[in-house]
Amino acid sequence: MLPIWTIWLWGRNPRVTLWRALALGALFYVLGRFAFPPVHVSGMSMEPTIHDGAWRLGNKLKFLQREPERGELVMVRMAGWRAFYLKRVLALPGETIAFSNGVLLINGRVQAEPYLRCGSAWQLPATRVPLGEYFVAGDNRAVPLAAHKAGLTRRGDIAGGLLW
Amino acid sequence: MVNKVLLVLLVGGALWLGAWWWLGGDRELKKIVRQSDRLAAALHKAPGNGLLGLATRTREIADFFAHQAQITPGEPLPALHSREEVLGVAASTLQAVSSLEVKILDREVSWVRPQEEAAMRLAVEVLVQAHGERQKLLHTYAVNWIREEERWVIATAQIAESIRRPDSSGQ
Repeated sequence: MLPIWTIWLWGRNPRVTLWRALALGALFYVLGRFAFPPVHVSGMSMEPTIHDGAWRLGNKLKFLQREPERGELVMVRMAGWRAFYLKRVLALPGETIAFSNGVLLINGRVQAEPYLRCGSAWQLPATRVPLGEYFVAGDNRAVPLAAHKAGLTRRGDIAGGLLW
Repeated sequence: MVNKVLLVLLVGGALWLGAWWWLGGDRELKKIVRQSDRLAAALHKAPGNGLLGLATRTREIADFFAHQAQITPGEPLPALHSREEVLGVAASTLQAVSSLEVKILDREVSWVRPQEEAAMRLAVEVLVQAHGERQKLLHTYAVNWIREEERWVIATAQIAESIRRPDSSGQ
């Protein structure tokens, strides 16, 4: 009869437990690396939707079968495949985006942004988004547009969305 | 029996990968990666660090750059066109800030001309404290490394953000 702590630690059959642990480790590595990477948010550009220091789960498979839509959160590639900007899609390819006293206009029409908590004074002249590109920005409009990492990004640099 | 075969395959595969990594043609790329780590470490200035050894430190930083280096570090720093200019800006920056930390978040490196020139894309987080204000900057750089006097040095570096401002013309 094995001591109870040994059973807790290794199970009744340590070899099977070891193989299970290895298989689980490999599964989590593959899922985390290629499909659902854990995302540690650094910075306040997505406040108040996502706070500085929060943990989320990315989803690299999200836009394999379809294109990002307006209002969706996307991970924008920096370099390599571990660090990303987390932004919201505001304008799609071919659309014209503008900000007038913080109000978002797409093709000249006012867009509701229910995810915002505070107003802003963002100003942007009408800008056409080139084909194959998206206009992305963070939710923290308290930061002036000039100091905010917002603008055009290529479709190829959108690495995925958020699972949660 | 199956377990033993799997174990042998796993160990053999790991050994083969290790040998490929250590002995393969990518050793020079690893040297370049290590150079970028060393540069980030050389730029570090802890809070309260005085100016002791500043000249040595800035020369050490400048040694990471080619004689005719073309560097665009981004605002508020000016564009630089030689190792001497890098040395000058490094000295004045380290004097002006009370602390500086450069963290490499991610990078990818590939050959432009094998064993002679490599292109690196580098994502960095810069934490800087100056005049009582603390700032966190995120930047992506496109860096070209060349071999000069048997060392890997930076020939060009410029901001290469994946999110860019629209042209002021509005188009």
